Amino acid sequence: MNERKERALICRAFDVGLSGLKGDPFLARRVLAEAEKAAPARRKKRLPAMLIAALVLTAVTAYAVGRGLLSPRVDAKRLANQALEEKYGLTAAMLGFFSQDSQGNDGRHWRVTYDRGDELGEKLGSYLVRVTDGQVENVSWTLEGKDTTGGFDAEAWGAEQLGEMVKITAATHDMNRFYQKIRGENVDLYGGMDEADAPAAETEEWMQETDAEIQAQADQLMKGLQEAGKASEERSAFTREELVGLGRQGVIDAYGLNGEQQARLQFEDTVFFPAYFSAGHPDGHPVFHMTFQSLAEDGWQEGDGIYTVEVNALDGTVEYLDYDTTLDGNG
Amino acid sequence: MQEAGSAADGKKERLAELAEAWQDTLLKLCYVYLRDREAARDAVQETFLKAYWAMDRFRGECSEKTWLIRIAVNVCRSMRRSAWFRRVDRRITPEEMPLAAEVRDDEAVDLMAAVLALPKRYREAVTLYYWQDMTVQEIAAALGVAQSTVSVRLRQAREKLRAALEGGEENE
Repeated sequence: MNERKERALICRAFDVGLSGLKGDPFLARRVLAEAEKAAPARRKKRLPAMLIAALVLTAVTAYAVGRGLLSPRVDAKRLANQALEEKYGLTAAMLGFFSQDSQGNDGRHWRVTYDRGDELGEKLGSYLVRVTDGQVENVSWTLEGKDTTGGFDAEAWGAEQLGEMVKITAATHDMNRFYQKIRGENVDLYGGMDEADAPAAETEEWMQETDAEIQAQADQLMKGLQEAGKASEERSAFTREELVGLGRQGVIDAYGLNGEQQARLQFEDTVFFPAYFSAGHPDGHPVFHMTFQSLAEDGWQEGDGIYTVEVNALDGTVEYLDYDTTLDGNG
Repeated sequence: MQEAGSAADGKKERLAELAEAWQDTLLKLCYVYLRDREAARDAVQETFLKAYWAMDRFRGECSEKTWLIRIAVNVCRSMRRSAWFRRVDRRITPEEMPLAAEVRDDEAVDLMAAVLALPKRYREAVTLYYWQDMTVQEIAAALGVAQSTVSVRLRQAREKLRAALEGGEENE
């Protein structure tokens, strides 16, 4: 099929498939009403070095009793991850195959869930951890009691299978084979694990040329993003460097990274992973968004991946933390 | 005071113009990202709110469309990462598609369902390339990725959609 026909079919699909979506005639009015609710700018106060040191010390001390500078939501997730490792032997990498969420209404009671809304999820089940006032109350799995012996032919896939999935995807970056297995297709789950994944020479060269071409325009857009966050940056009580330090410590605390893993953890501020300020929900307080990447030189290892962090730029708490192992390709 | 008032009025007028010009496009784009009507509406409102705050600093470094799409993409990504969003099964069946009442085109609906079932990174490339008629370069700029990344994603998306596309061609 040629591209013209392809384009015509896909355009028609969009026009038909989304034909019932209509805009809001009062959108501009709503937006202006929201804009007028935003908090007025305050002068940025730079904390003196001694106070920063005391703040970090407080964070270390507080971490000793389990809270650190992690918000209650993020800390609930940390406790939940720990509880799942203790009860079921699930590492952070294994949990990376699930969608994770912490739900709580009052800041004290949290419901941390791990699930996967597809056919693979039917094999993996879902995990639930309840946390109250910083204590884990309950840890459960929807497939409790199912037989997990027998490798990938088992009735349910638990830690054993998840551990193998980590190894296989670290080597192959291919999740499709697990779906094929579930569907009963003939598939070699461990196939291709020794093969190198290097692009062809001409592809490499072309990729380098096009990367260079797009860089200038992407830089301009990133500049726009940074400009948009200026108002929030002006309200921040911390400098960027201080916020990066707080974010990094949050990642280390939340995931218990060892010395080697900490050494691989690199702060990113690029066109692909920009660091920037914005106004957070629900009150417009300034938030600093940042990304850390970790990748061992000889291939993926535990702790590697992309950590996305959001830090409250008024009080330094880590409000959001997400760990993407990069092993699971589906968005 | 009068000058400040005029500047503020000008900004409001500009917001209204942008909303009129791009709201429908962004609503559909956000729906493709989020696969939920109400979440898409929230995302559009958030997008124009961010655009309103950033309006004074926008100097035409790119087209308005690319600028707004970039903001919308980031808003959708934030929404996808946070809160309850990821827990809900967001597979869209043809019966759940937001169709206008008078529409009757099963092949188009099936193809749209196939697009909505794609992993996010393919879905966004297909949406911006085919439906929004953006170039690979513009898409790379809007998404903040390399041009080669966009090309690879488009190729892979076509492979995944092949069956649905060929079904449509047979019935032309």
